[in-house]
Amino acid sequence: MTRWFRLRTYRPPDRAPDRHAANGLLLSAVAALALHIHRQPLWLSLGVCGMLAWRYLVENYSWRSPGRLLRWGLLIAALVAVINTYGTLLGREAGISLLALLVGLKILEIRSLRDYFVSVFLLYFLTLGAFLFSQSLITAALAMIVAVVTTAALVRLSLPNTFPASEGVRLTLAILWRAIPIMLLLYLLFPRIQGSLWGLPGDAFAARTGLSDTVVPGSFNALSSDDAVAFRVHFTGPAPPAHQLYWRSLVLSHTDGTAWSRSGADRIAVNTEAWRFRGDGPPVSYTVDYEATGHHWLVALDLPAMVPATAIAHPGFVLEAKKRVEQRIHYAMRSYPAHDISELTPAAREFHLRAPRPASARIQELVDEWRRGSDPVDAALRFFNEQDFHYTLSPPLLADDTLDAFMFGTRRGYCEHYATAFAMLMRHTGIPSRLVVGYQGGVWNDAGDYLVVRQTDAHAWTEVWRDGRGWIRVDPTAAVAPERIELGMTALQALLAQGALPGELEAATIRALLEGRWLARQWSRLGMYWDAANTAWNRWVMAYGPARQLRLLQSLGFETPSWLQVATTLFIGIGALLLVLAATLLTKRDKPDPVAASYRRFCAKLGRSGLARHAHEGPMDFYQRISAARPELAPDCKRIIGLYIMLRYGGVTRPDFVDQLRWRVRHFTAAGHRAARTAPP
Amino acid sequence: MDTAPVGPAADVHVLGRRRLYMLPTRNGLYFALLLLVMLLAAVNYNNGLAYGFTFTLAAVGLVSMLYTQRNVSGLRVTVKDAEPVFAGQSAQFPIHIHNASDTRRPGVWVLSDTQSRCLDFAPQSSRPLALTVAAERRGYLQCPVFSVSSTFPFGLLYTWAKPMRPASRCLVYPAPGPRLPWPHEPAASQRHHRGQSLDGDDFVGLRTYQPADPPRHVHWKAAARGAGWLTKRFGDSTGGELWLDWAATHGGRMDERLGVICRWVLDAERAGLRYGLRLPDLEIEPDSGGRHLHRCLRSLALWDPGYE
Repeated sequence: MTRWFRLRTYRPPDRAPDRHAANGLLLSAVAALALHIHRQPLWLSLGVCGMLAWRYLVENYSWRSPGRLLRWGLLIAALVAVINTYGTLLGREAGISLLALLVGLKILEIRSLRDYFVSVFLLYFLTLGAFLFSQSLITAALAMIVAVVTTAALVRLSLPNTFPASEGVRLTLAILWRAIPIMLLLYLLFPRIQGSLWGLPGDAFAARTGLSDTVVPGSFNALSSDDAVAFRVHFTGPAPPAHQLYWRSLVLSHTDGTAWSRSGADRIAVNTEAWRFRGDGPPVSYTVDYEATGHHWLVALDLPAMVPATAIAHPGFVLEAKKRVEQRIHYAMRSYPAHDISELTPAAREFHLRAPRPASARIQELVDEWRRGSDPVDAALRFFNEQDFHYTLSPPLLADDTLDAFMFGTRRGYCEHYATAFAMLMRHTGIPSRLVVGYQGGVWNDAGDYLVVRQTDAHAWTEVWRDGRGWIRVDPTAAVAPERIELGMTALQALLAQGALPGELEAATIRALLEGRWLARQWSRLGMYWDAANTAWNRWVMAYGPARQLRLLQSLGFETPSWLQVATTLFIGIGALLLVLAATLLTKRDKPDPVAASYRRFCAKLGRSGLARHAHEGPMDFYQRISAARPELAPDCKRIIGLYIMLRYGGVTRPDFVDQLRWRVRHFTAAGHRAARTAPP
Repeated sequence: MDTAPVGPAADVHVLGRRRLYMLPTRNGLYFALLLLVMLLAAVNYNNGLAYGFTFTLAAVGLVSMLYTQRNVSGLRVTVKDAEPVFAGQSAQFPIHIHNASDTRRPGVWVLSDTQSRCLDFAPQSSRPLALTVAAERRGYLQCPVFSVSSTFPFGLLYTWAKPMRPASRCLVYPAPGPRLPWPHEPAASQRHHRGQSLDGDDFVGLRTYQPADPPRHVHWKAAARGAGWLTKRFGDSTGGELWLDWAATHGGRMDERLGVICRWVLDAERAGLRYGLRLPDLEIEPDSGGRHLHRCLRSLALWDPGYE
C-alpha cells in the first residue's frame, strides 16, 4: 500500500446554502433562460419562470415547497407539453425546451447542497445549448455574462454568508481572466476531429435558407426578403467591377415548360479538364466564407478556373462540396472573367433546345421575327428593354401559359421571371439556352475590406450557345433594370421601397434617392463594423477546425503532428501556464510597511556615521547608546524613536504620525552633525 | 503568588505548499463529468463556441486549484496547552490561526474527528478558536489530530493540510468523587470555613479569578498592570491542618479513591485549610493556595502506583 492510500483526507462538511445563495442561483437561471427566450414557446418560458418564482417565495417568504406528488405531476406535464409542441423529446429544439423545464423542476425541488450543484451544472449545459442555434459574437458575449453570473452563484454555495455577492463576481472575473491563456491553449491545441461522433439529429441544421435547385417563377420570393448573409468574399487583388460580380452556383438545363431543374448530365462529376473556357481578362483570386446551407452546391465567380480540395466539378462550371455544407466553410478560389467553350455535342444541343410546351401564336410570331433579324439575342434584349417591362419584387400571379401571360400580359417580375422567359424564348428561337442561378453583386464592407453577399442578392440569368463562341452569359434583368446589376440588390430594394421605377431613372435621381439621411448612413457604417467583427469572429473562432488546426501546428513547427505530440505539448503548456500563475498568485508579496521602512532608513543613516544598530538591539537600548555616544543627536533621535515605538508597539495607527516619522527621518542627518563636530575650530 | 499551572508551550505550524494536499470533491467529479459531456456535444456538433465554452470552464476549474491552495497556504496555526480540567469535563485547546497575507480567506475549515468550524479571515488578521475534546480519564490528554481545509472558491476541489499532531496537551485531574467526611478532624485551633473562602477579615492571598468571584475582590491593580486577573482572598489565617491520606479512602477502584481525595483537596482549599497529601509513594507537605492546590491535583492526575 502506498503512502497515498494511507493518507487521511479532511473534507469540509457540506453546508446548507442560505437564501442569498439560492437567490444567486435563481438569478443565473433567469439569465440562462433569457438566452433561449426568443426561440422557446411562451408557455415554456412562463412555466419555468413560475417554478423559479415559487422557489423565490419559498426562500424569501417561507412559502411551502411543492410536494413530491406535485413535482411528479409537473414533470409529466412538462414531458407531455414538449411532445405536444415538437412531436418528440429529442433533437435540438425539443431538447433545449426539456432542459429548461428540468432546470425549473430541479431548482424547485432543491434540498441538499448537491441539488444546488446539479442545478448549476444544468445551467451551464443550458448555456451551451444556445450555441447550437447561434455562434455569433453576440451569443458568445451574452453566454459569457450568463456564465459569470452562474459561476458567481457557485462561489456562494460553499462559502459563509459573510461573503458578499459582489466579491463572488469579482473573484469569478479574476479567475476567468487568469484562465484565458489556458483556455486559448486548449482551444487551439485540443485535437479537433472531422465530422461528428454520431449522427446528428435531423433538425440540427433546420431552417436554413439558400438557393434551390429548382426554379419556378416566384420561387425566389422567400430569398428576396431574407437578408441573411450567404457568403463573404475576400479578394486578393482589386475587386472586379459590379457588373462582373456574377456568383455562379448551379446550371439548370432541364425544363418542363415552367420549372427549371438540373438535368442528369448536369449532375455528373467531371474532370476539370472537361472545363474549357476562353478568358476575357486577368484571373481573380479570392477566398469565400460560405455559410451553411444544408446543400452541396458552392459559389464561384463566373467562371471558376479551379476546384477546391473539398469540392468536385460538374459540367457547366458548377462546383459542389463533397459533403453537404452543414457549417460555414472556407475555400480559396481563382476565376477568370471568361465564357464556357466546352464542346456541345449534338445530343446536348438537342437537349438544350427542348421546349415541352409549344409556343403560343403570339410567341411564335415574336421569335420568328427575331430569327429573321441579324441577332435574335440582341433583338430579344431590345424587346425587353423597349417594351414596358418592369422590375418588381411583388409581381402579379401568372396564369396558365406562363410565358405568354408574362410576355404579353403582366410584364412585371424580377430576375427569375426574366431569366426563365428569356431562356425559353431562346429555345423557341432555336438557340440552345440554359438557366444559371447564383448571386449577383454584394455589398462592399469598407471596415473589413470584403464583399458581403446576402440571400437577397440571389439571382438567375441565362446562358445561350452561340456557335463558334460558346456559352455566352445574357442577363435579361439587366435589360429591364440595369440598376439591379450596377447598384446591387440592396440599393435596388431601397429604390423600390421609395416607389421608384427601376429602368427609367436618371443617375442623379438615383443618387439623391440612395444618399439617404445622415443617421441612416452612420447606421449602415456601424453595421459594416459589426459585420467585420463578426467575420473575424467566424474566421478565427467558428471556422477553426481540423484544417486550420493543422495549419497552425505546421506553422508552430510540427511537420506532421501526431496526436501524442500535440497532447504532450498541451500538457506541458498547461503545466507551464499554471506554474506561472502559481508563482504570481501564491508567492507572498510583502506590503511595504512605511513605519519599518522609515526606521530602517534612520538606522542606515546612523550606521553610515558609525553608529550601527546591533541586530538584537531594541529601539530603547539603541536610543540609550546614541544619546551616550552622540548627545547632540539625542533630541532628534528621541522624537524619531518615540514615534517609531508609538506606531510599532503602542497600537497607534495614525497616518499623520506615519507621515511625521517619514518626514523626520528624511530630514535627519547624522553625518552633518559629525562633520560639524569633527571640523577644526 | 499563583501562576499559570502549566507553561504555555506552543506548537506553531505554517501551512506551506508541501504540507497541502488536494482532491476533487464529489461535486468536482460531477463537474468533470459535465465537462466531458459538454466536450462530446462540442465534438459532435463540431461547434467552435461550444468548444470554447467547455475549455473556458475547464480552464477556470484548473485555475481555481491555485485559488483553493492559496486560501489555506501560508496560514500560521499556533496550538497551546489547554487549561487543566477535571475528568468528565471538556478540554479546550486554544488554537490561533493567523493570516499574514493581504488576501481575504473565506471558508477556512478547522477539522478534527469530532469538530468542524468554518472561519473567514480578513486580510492580515487572526482568529482564535478552541478545539474541544472530552477529557475522559485523568492524566495527560494529547491535543487531537486536526487539519485545516477549504473548498474555496467553487466547492469543486478541497485542499487540506497534512494532519497536525501538536505536542500540546491538557492535564486532566481526576473527577472529584462524592463528598465524604474528612479522613480526620483538622488539627487543633482550627475553624472551618465551608463555603466562600473569600469571606473573612484578613487578607490571606490571591488566586486566579473565577467568573463567580465578586468584583470588589478583584485585584484591579494587578489587572491594570497586566499581571492577569486575580482575586483577593480573605479568610481566617489560622486555618487547620489536614492530612489527606490514600489509606483513609477505604477500598474501591483506584480512580474512585483518587476521586475522593480530589474532592477533599478541593473542599480543603475552599475551606481555607492547610492540607497535605499522602499517597503510597508520595507525600506533599501541608500548605494552601492555588499553587499548592495545583501541585496536589497534578500529583493525583499523574500518580502512577505501578500496581492495581
